Amino acid sequence: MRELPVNQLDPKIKSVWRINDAIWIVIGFVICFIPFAIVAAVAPEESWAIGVMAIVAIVFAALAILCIVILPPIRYVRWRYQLTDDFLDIAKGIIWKQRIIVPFIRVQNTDTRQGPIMRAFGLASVTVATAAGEHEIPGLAMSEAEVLRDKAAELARIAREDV
Amino acid sequence: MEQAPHTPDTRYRVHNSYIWLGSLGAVIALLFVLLVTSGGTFISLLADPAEALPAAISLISVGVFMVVVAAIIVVMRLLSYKHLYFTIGQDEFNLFSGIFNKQRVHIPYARIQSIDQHATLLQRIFGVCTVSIDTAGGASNKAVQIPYVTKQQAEWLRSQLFARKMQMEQATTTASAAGGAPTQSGNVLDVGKQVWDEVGGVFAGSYQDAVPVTYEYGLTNKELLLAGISNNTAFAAIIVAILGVVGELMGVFSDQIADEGALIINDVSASLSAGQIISGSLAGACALIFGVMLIIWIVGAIASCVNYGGFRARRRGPRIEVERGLLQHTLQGVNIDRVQAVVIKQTFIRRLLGYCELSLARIDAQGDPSESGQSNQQTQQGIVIHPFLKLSRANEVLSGLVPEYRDVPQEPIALSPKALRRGLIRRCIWQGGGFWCAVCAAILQIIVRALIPSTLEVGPTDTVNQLAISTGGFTDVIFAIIYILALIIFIFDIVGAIMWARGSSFAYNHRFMQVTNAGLSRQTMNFPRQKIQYGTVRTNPLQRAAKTATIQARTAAGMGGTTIALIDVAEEAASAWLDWVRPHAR
Repeated sequence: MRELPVNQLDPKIKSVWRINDAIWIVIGFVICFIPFAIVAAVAPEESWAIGVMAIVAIVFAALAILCIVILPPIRYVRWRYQLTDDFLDIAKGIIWKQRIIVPFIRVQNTDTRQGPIMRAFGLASVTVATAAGEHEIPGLAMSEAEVLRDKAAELARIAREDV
Repeated sequence: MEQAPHTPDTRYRVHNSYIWLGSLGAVIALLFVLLVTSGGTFISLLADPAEALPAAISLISVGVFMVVVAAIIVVMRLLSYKHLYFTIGQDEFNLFSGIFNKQRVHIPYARIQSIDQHATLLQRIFGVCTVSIDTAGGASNKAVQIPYVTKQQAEWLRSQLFARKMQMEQATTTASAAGGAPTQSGNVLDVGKQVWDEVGGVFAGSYQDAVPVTYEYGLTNKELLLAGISNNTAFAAIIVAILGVVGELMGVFSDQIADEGALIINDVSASLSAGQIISGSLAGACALIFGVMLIIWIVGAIASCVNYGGFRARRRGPRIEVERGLLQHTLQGVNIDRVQAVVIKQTFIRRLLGYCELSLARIDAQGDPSESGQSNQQTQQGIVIHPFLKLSRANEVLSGLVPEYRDVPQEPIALSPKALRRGLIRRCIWQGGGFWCAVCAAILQIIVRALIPSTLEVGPTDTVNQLAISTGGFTDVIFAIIYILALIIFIFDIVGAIMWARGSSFAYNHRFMQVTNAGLSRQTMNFPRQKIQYGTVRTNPLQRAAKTATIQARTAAGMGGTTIALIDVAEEAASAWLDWVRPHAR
C-alpha cells in the first residue's frame, strides 16, 4: 500500500469517543439490567434472575473495557486524512481497513457539525458530500475544521463540473 | 397547440382532457362504491315490494349524493386545470399549480437531466401523455410531472427545453456520432407502433424535431420473441414451479403419514390402494403446477413482448432516446453527458444463448407511483437500450448509439490468484445457499431423530409404534430430497465461484473504467472516470493475509448512488487503481 495520509485527528477525539460510547453502554446496561433487578427484588426466590444480572454485568463490563480502554487509541492511530489541492484522502478502520479518495471536483457541499460533547471539547466534524454519499472527518479543532471546510468548499467550487 | 409568438411569460396550459379524462377515474371509482353500497338496498327493493318506497327514497338520495360528489370532483378538476400552467422563461422552466395552496416549481434549464414521456393506454388513445422532467436533485429527488400534455406539445416542450439547456451551457460541440443511414430492422409488433404513429390518438398532432437522427434501430422478430421468452419472469416461473412441486411432494408425504397412521389402525391392507390414489393426485397436482407456471410464463413473455413492442432506440444530437410499449407508451431520453455507465448484462439463460441486455445507467428520479406503477421497476435499472442483443453485436450497437464510449479499456486486469480459493469459500460456504440448506436440514433431522424414540417409549400400543416408524421413514425421504437439492445448489455455487474467479476483471485507461463481475450471470459496467464520485479500497484481515483487496467505485447512478465493486483484486493493482482515481494522476 502507498504511504498513509499525514494528518491525524485532534487527540481530544478519544475522550469524545469514550464519553459517547460510555453513554450508550450505560443506556444499554440500564435497559438490560433493570427488568431482572425488578424480578430479583419482587420475587427473591427466582434465583436465576441474579445469574442473568451477573452475566449482563459481565458482558457490559467487557464491552465498556473494549470501547473505552482498548478501541479509542487504535481507532485514533488508524484514522488519518489528508487534504491536497485535488482530492481528499482518508484511511480508517481497524479490522476492515478502508482507503477513500474523494476528488474535489465531485464534492457537492461541505459543512461542519458539532454535537454537545464535541462542543464541550471545542471540536467539530467536517462533512464532505458528493452526489452519491458523504464522508465525515470527525474531531478537528474548531478553527482547523473551519479552515478545512472553507478550503474544501473553495476547491470544490473551482473544480466544479456537471454530475 | 398553437405555436403563436412565444414570450417568457406565455402561459402554456395542458390539454383539456386533464379535466374529463382525469375525473373519469374518480367517477368510475365512485360508481363502484355506489354499486357496492346500494346493491343491498336494490335487492331488497326487488325482493320485497312492500318496502319499495323507503328503499327507493334511499336509493335516490344515494344517487343524488353521488352526482353531487361527482360534480364536485369535476369542478375541482376544472379549477385545478385553470390554475395549472407552465411558462418557459428566460433562464428557467416554471410549473404553476394549486387552487388554494399555490405551488410553483422552478427548474433552471441547466439542471434538467432528462425528459421522459409516459402514456397509459387510455391516455394514448386520446393522444396525450405525462411528461416528467428530471433534475438530479440529490438522494430523494422527484421528477416534476406535467400531466395530460398532447404528444405534439410534449415533443415541442422537449426540444424547447433541450435547446435552451444547450444554449445555457453554450455547448458548441457537435455530435460526434458515427454517420450512416439509420438501420431499419423491425418486427411484427412495430406494425402496432406504425398504426399508433399514423392514428396518433385523438389530440396528438404532429411535431417534427429539428435535430436529425444519426443512428436508430429497433428489434427484429427473433430478438423480440426471445427477449420475451427469456425474461426474468421466465426464470422466476421455473424456480417457483420447482419449489411448488417439491412443496407439493412434501405436503403429500405428510398427508400420507397421517392417512397411513389412520389406516394402520383401521386396516393395513387398505393403505396400498390409498397410496395409489395419493400418487395419482400427486401427478395431477404437479401437472397443475406446471400448467399454471407455463401460463404465467407465457403471460410474462407476452407482457414483455408488448412492453418492448414498437421499441426504437435512436441517437439525436447529444441525446439518446428510447421509445417502447405497444399499449402503454414510454419515451425515455437522456443526454450523453448524463449517462453514468453503460451496462452489458447477461442473465444465466441469456448467457447460455449468447445474448445480452444493454442499458444506460443514469441518475434515476422517483416518479409518481400512481402514474408509473409497474414501469417503476424499469426506471430503476436505467434505460434499456437493447433488451436482447447478440453479444458479438454489442460493440457495433454501442459505437453507433454512444460513440463516446468507443475507447473503453481493452487490457483487463484479472483477479488475484488467491481469488479462486477465497471465492470458493465465500460463495459456497459463507454465502452458499446449498451449504446452509444442508446444515439446517441436518439440524432438523437430528431434532426429529431425537423426538421419534421418545414417542416410541410413550406409545402404549403397537399401532403407534408402527406409525412412528413410518413417520421416520417418510421424514428420511423428505430429508434426502432436501439434501439432493442442497447438493445441486452447492454444485451451482462451485461452478459460479470458479466462473467468477476466471471471468471477473477490471480495466482502466485515461478516460474510462470497466468492471466485469462474472459468475453464472455476467455484468460488465463501462463508466467514464469523471463519473466516479469517490473510490475506496477495502481490506479485511483475511484479505490482507492473502494480499488482496476490494475496490469500490461509487457513481451517482440509480437512486442515491451505486457502488461498483470488485472483490479480491491483487493488492498492488488496487493501490495502482486508487492512484488512478486521484485527480492529478492523469
